[in-house]
Amino acid sequence: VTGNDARASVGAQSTAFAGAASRLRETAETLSQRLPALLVEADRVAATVAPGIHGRRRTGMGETFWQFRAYQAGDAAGEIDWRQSARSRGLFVREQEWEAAESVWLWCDLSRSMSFRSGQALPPKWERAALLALALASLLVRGGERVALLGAGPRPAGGRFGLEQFARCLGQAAAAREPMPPPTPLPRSARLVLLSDFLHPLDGLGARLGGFAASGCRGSVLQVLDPAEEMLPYEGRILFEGMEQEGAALIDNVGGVRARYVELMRAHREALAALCGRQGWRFAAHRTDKGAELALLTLAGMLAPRALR
Amino acid sequence: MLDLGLVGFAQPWLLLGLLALPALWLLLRVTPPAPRKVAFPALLFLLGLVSPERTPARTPPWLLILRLALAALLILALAGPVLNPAPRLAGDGPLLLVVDNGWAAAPRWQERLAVARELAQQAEREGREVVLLPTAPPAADTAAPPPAATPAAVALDALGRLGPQPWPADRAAAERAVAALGLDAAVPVWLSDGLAGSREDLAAAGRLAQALRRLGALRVHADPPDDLPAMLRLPDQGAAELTAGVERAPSLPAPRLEVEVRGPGGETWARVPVAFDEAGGKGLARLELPADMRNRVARLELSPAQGVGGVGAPGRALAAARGGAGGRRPRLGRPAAPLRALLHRQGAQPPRRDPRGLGRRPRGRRPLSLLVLPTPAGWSRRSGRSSRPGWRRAASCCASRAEAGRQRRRLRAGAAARGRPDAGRRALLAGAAQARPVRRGRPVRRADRARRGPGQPQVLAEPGPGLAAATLATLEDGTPLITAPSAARAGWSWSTPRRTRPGRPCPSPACSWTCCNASWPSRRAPAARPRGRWSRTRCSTRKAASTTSPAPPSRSRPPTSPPCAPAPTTRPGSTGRCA
Repeated sequence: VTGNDARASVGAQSTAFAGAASRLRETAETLSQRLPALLVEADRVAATVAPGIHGRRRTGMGETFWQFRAYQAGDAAGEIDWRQSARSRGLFVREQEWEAAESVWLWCDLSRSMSFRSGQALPPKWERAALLALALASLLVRGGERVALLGAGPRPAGGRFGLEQFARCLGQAAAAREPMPPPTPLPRSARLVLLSDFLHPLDGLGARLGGFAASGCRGSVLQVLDPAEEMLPYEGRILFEGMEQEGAALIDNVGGVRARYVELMRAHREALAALCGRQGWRFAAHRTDKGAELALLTLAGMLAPRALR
Repeated sequence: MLDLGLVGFAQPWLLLGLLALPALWLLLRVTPPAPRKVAFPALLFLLGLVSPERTPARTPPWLLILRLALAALLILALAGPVLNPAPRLAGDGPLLLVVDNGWAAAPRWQERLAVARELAQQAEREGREVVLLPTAPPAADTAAPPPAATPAAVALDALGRLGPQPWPADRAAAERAVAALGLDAAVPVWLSDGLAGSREDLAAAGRLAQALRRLGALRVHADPPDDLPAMLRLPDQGAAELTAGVERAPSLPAPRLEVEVRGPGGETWARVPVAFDEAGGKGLARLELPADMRNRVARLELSPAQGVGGVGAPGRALAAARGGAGGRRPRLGRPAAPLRALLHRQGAQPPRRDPRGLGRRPRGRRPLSLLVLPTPAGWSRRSGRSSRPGWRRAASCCASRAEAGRQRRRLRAGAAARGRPDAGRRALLAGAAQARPVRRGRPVRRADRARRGPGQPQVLAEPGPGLAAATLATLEDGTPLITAPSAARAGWSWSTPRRTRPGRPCPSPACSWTCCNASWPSRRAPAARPRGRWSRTRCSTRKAASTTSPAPPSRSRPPTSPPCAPAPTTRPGSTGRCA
């Protein structure tokens, strides 16, 4: 295969994926309409965050009244609310609520291993992951947040335009097939949502997550798995071949190693959850034979303010 | 054909397949089938896993040896092994199989056929052609193709169809057929029956042997002289002393043979040992039989069975001489005297042909119950007659129907029927006459009793099922004295006949024939009331229904009517009582 051919095939693949992504977006929008608008918790405000429509429950720049407070030395005379001050003794200063929009970065694993599915009735893992990402993006956009795809595309944007830009970037990222979230520098207090099967050794992933956490952003991790990857429902002598050039494993009697495999898979998930917990992140798992709404609820719950949980 | 002594192989080149066994060895060692391939993302956890049970990567030696043995046996079986293979046929050219299939070959025909088959199969294995030459001339009405060299499979087929003929072999004709074949070389084999009936026949056999020897080394298969079939000579007619002769090829010691005398039912009446002369060629058996049994001898047979030559049906030959000589005396091995003449030896008079085409009815057989004949051309359904003279005389359908409807009961041995008894039985019949069975107050007339015909009353029937229903008169102790078939009983009862004009169909629903009313009372007596004492309300098929001799055509009465009894009025008290 020459280089031109490879490029052409990649381009065709990406075009096909873009079509599929637009289809997915419609599905995702209808899915997200069933959920109430999500108010993302903003307990810490970063200075870099652009002002937006979202009240931060703190005093600050905004249009909505927040509180009156007693005049302190140094306050500008123009800040004094004279009407309120006239009702009682002392001078009161009127403060507005700080309104700002939060930016959420989403990342969806579209590597080759995500194209696995164990049966014709089940969707591939990438399809479920992309659906969930788009549904979450649609949900966030309706809540007034801004969304962006991690590692690709322009700055986070909200509104209808932001959602379309997110879907376009998702289609372009499909060609890259990155198995790990790219180490993009993120602003402080950014929110990050990672969707993948996370079937790699956890060393590299831990370093990558540590980098994100060091930059001050908080995140949520959703592991999307096929039921066959959890249960190993095969029998007999099978040659398992990796989907990303990991080699092959010849198992003479799959039934004999099933218990050990399930144990290993459980340990891996627990290690992943512990890794996320160490960073203060939140972790959930999802199987493709379950409904997408359930996973979306889980994601929404992970992003919701602590008071709503 | 590869011959290894005990075992031979028909297709030895297939044994080259044994050379492929080492390759098979290598192939069979790779036992486990290729594993199923599954693309799986979570390979990370599978890489370190080892299943506790492992499929062996190599075939166990016993399985390998078993499979190789199986393959070797398959190859050996395909090579067509033959146990104790027959030696190759010596000589070039086709196998010339001369088979004597005359009457003398019949007793051990299956063994001859087995030998012939074996030879033909051997020729098939060697790829030779086979000439099958039966020596007995075929039956006159069959056309046998001239013998020719054919593939062995065709000859095997022909052997299956070949059977012994009831006449002697014609070896002179066989010699001519061998010459007509025009073969230069062949493998001649002669399956001989071992008999030559005359000097000419012996000379012809010698010439045939010479002709065969000219083609190649001659092999002759023949029965040992002790086993050659013997022939039975029927006794002379009319001789005071019945002596059956037995002829056989002379050999010593002579076998123990017996002549069995059989009655009409096939039962053995006597077994008479045969006394042979010093050479063992000719024997005699003196049959001492009472005079009345002598008249009824049905068959003479040699025992142990000697085939068709040892059976004779004397017919009336043993009865008292009625003048004229018997049929031609068959002699051993004479084509002019086929055995059929011996078997169906006729009396002095030429046999009367009957319409059933069965020839003269042999003695001892029972009358026919039913005979089905096709409707002949020119048959007139309305008149029940045919325009063709041969069928007009026949009236066979009526005859057969009459026989079917009027089955006589078998008489008790020694009893007489038909009212014309022997002198020795007269006393008994006289007693019966004195008993005077009464039907409506009228005695049985002597004239009625004297009538002949199957529908007439009989006396002293053999006990059997249905006898009570057929009994007309019994003695006081219950012995059925006079019996008659049901059809005849209808005639014995009073009943008013239906009026049927001549030429009209019979009123009986079971009868599809036109009734002949020649003897109907309404025609004979115009008065309405039947005047006869024994009004016969049946059709006059008396002569046509005769079981012994069918109606000759010269009868004035048309023999066309079946026994169409018009609705017999059976009454409970119709059985007469002896006074």
